[in-house]
Formats: sequence, C-alpha cells, structure tokens
Amino acid sequence: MRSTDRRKGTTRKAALRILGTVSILSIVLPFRLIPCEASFPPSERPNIVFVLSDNQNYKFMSCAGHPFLETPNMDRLAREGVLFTNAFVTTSLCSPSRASFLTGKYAHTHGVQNNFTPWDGSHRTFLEVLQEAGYDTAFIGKWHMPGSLPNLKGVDPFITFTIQGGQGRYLNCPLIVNGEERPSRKPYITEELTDYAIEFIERKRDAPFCLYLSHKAVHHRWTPPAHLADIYADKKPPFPEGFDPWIPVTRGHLFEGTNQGFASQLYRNYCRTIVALDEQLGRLLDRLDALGMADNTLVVFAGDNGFFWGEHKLFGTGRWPYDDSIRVPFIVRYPGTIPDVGRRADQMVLNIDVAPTFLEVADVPVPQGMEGASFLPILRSASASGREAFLYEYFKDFPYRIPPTQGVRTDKYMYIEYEGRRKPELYDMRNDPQQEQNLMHTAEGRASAAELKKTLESLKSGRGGTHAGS
Amino acid sequence: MPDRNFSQRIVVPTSIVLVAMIVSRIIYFNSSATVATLSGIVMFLCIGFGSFLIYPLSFVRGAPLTERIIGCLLTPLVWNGIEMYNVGQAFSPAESLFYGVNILSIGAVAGQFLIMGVCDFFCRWNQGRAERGETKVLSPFAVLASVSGILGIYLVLVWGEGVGLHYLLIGLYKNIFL
Repeated sequence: MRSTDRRKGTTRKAALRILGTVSILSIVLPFRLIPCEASFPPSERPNIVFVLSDNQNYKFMSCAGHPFLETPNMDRLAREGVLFTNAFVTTSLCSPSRASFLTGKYAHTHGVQNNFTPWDGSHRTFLEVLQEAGYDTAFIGKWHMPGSLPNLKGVDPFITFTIQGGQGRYLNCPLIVNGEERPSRKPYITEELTDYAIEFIERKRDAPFCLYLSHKAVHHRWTPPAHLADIYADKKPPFPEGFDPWIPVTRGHLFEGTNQGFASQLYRNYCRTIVALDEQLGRLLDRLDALGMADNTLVVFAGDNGFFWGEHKLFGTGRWPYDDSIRVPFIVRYPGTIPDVGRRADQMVLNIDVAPTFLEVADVPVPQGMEGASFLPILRSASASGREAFLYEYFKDFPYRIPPTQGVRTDKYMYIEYEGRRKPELYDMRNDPQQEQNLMHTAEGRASAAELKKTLESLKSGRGGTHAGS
Repeated sequence: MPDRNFSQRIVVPTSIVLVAMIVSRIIYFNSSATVATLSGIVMFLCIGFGSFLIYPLSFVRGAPLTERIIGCLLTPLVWNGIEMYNVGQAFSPAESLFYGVNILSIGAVAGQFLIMGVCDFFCRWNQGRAERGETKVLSPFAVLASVSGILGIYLVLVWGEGVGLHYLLIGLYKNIFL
C-alpha cells in the first residue's frame, strides 16, 4: 500500500530523482560483479521469497559437495548469492524451528518447544509485521505447529495441510486454503505448492510481496515423482564409517515411519525428493526472471533442521545437538546487495535471524522481543563479523529418546548439557568437526568447559549472543 | 504326541530364540559395522521370525496353546522391554510404558500371530497326515491369529502410508499425558 501511495504522489522532483538513479544504476550495474564493499540498495522495497525445505541435511546439495546429488537450482542460488556454511537452527525440530523462523525468537520464548506444545498466536510473525507495513503476504505449505490450525494473522492466502499430523503426504495431499479444504490439483505436493506460490507472485499488485513457501519435502516417506523414481539407482550412498543397515531400527529409532525398506533405498529416495524440490525451486526462480522481478527480490532458501544418515550411529530428524542435526542449508540471493556473489560465508547465522533480516530489507522497524539479528551486513560485506556464540536448546518430545538439552555453540566449540543421566559433552569444532572426541574426558576440555558453561548461563538468561553481523 | 515336561516342550524352544536374540544384541552394540550387520540379521530374525522355530517345536512337543503363544511372544516382548527401559532416561515410567506400544513392537507381535497361524495350519496338516486325517487342519486359532496378524501388519506398514498408526498413537499420548 505504501508504494502505491508513493507512486500516486510522485512529484517532478521525485521523478527527476528516479531518472537520475536509473542513469547511475545503468552505469554501475555492469560492474557489480567486481568485489567491493559498496551496497546497491534497490530503488523500491524488495519482494521477499522464503523457501523452506524439511529435514534436509546441509550436505545434501551439489554446491555443498554431495558426491552425486544434482541440485542445479540450489547451486544457481548459491552462485548468484551467498551460501552460508555455518547456518544453524536453535532447536533442531520441525515445529519449534518453524516458529523460530517466523517469530525471530528462541523456542523458550515463543513457546513451541516440541511437536506438542501449541502455537498460541501471541507472538507476531514477520509476515504479520510486513503486511502491516504494506506487503502482500502469503503462507503456502507446511504449517505443522501443534494445536488446531490457527487463523494465521497477516497472510492472504494461508494454504497448508493438516493430514498425517500436519506432515501432509507426497501424493494427492488435500490442502486447506484459507480455512477451506480443497482437493489437490496436482498429484505431487512439491509441484502443487509451487503452483500456488507462482500464482501468488503473478498476482497484479502495486505493493511488494513476501512469500513464505514451506515444502513437505524432504520429510519422510520420501516419495519421488514418477520421472525421478529411478535416478541414482546405481549410486552407492556415502554412509559414514561404521554405518550398519540396522541403525534406522535400533537405538530408539522407532517412530520415523522410515523403517520400511533398506537404508540405501531410503537414502536414494531422499535424494530423489531433493531433486524434485530443486526442480520446483527452479520453476519459481524462472518465473521470477520471466516476470522481471528477480532483480528486486530477496530469495532465501533454508532447511528447518538437519537429518542423520548414520552419523554418530543416529538416524532421522535432527534433535541431537550435533552438526548434522543443527546445521541447515542456507542460501541467500539479493541482487544489488551482495558485491561478491558466489561467496561462501562462514559467519554463524541462525533461523531466528531470518525475521529481523526480512524486516530490515523491507525498511520496517524490528519489533522489540525478536531475539535474532539481521544478517544483512554479512550479505553486504564478507568481512562483517558474525555472532560469537548461540544457545542451542531441545525439549522433551515423546517418543524420541533424546534427553532435554542445552548447549552453546561458538566458532570453536560445542558444549552440551543434558538433563538426566547423560553426561556433558564438549567438542572442538575446528579440529574435530565430526564431533567424535568428547573433550570432557581431558583436563584441557574441562577447563574450556568451565568458560563455556558461563557463556551458556549468560545465553540462557538472554544476555548475549544475538549478534548476527555488523 | 510325545510326552514332554514344561521345560522340554516350551522353555527350550523359546530359550533358543531368546538367547540368540540377546547374544546377537550384545554383539551388535559392541562390534564393527560388518559384524554388527550380521548380528543385526540374527537379532531381527529372532525378533521378527522366531515363532517359525518356537511354534512348531513346542507344538510337536505337546505344549498347550497358551504356552505356545507365550513362547512365541516372549522374544519380541523382551526386546521391547529393553527399549522401554532405555527410553526411561528421557521419560517418566508411565510414558516409558506407553512407549512400549509402538509401531515396531505392534508389528513384531502381529508378525508372530501371523506366523503362529500359518505354523498351526502346517503343524496340524502334518499331524493329520501322520495320524491319517484324524486332526482338523484349520483351527479357529489359526484363522484368528492369521487374520489379526495380517490386520496388524497392514496397520503398521500400509495404513496411512505406514505412518497412520504412529500418528494415532501420538494422538493417544497427547490425550493421556498432556
């Protein structure tokens, strides 16, 4: 709405200013690939496209070095933007993480602590704030918050699904469109949701838009579309050393719904559903191009939490405080703002940083209470400093056999405390990125742990660690 | 039918499977990937298919139906009991008990019933052959066990794309504990 009013009231002076800006940009833009620290602010508030995948391990993109998976569209985003190699979620579980993305808050603040504690609607989402600021907003895809489906404030349309405990299904998934159940129009859910997303961005409008597109993929049961059903059939999954095929049904891995079939087959189907997701991401990006919107659209592609494929002899959705669980794919494309596209940023960013970043690019004040911080400075400059530490938290979630956890992650260490019988753990992330050597058994480790424990207490009391970039 | 005592007719057949499961489980959790793979095969054969050994053995040794059923269910129940104990590190005793009703344990129990039904049919058929057709081949138990086994396996593996029962149990958990 704001941009409409602005256009209506364009004066001669303003028109000259726009003309001048266009002239300068036409000279500057050809040189924008040259690395520099300058920023190129768009002349209007940008559109925002946020695409969230489900349970996608950060290593499962070809740009992240996966040995055979091909994700040309995720790669394209990384090539045209920034791939964050240290992006994390503050709680590695679907519902809390999604609530954190939406609200910019930790799970202990927004209250969705596991897949049972309900979303109470008392915390504002970035979509709501953006709509109040004149954005046209849409929520399309997986909601999966505990409690009954809310009348989500600040979005139109609100398109989601509730079957199978809110997980949806890959084929012929009925949708809830603005509160009304509708049959699926396309058989495959990833394509269906993308269709709705494209319809939304194609709407005629004067205001900028913000699209929140959260896929069912790549949550189990990993049903690929028919045309991808046989790819990678000859590929051997690169399971970690020590992996045995019984891991998915031992050590309490009872309830993932994934215990049907052999691990290698499950792995290939996981990859196939990622390829399907990548194809649909490509459709969306192509549509932005065709509509001439790409240059004024911030695109963020992220995962809600990680997934174990045998690392630490674990299988399934994140939860545990290890990197394959808490680290997520995270790519940002923002034409005109990133001087050195194709960069890999190693600063730590979090799911709670997404909301304040969107608000900053939209030139909207960040409401008090958001605990994340904008990572826009990191987009603008490779040398921007990242946050020094963050709090990881996990709450009891039946029937999964993971004790409630709190931990602190720095660029050097991961220190973890569990409730109950399990002892604290400490890992040197620089020298032991696979987190195989618990340093709590060493004197040096115990000394470092004492300091980290203080940092943990400080983070728990909300006195630090929210700084994303400057 | 040979006259065997309690130990011979049911304890021995059950113990073969149960001990094999426990030993292979210990090996599984304390060995390299290759050995773990092999011991895992033994472990899950015992849990999932142990009744193929227990039921016919106990049948020919003259164990009554109740003993045969208990013998066949013992191994998956012991395995599930260990899982329930382990889950106690994160949940209350009541929740741990509820945890015992999970899709794998239901699947394992359903599988035993299906196997018992099939084995009962073949044992009676074999007995009938030996006794020149004096034994009724299809017993009510065989029918009931087979049907309930198939139903249980369907609920675990097929219904709701194989996760319908899981979400039903989660809903039940919410109603009981939250």
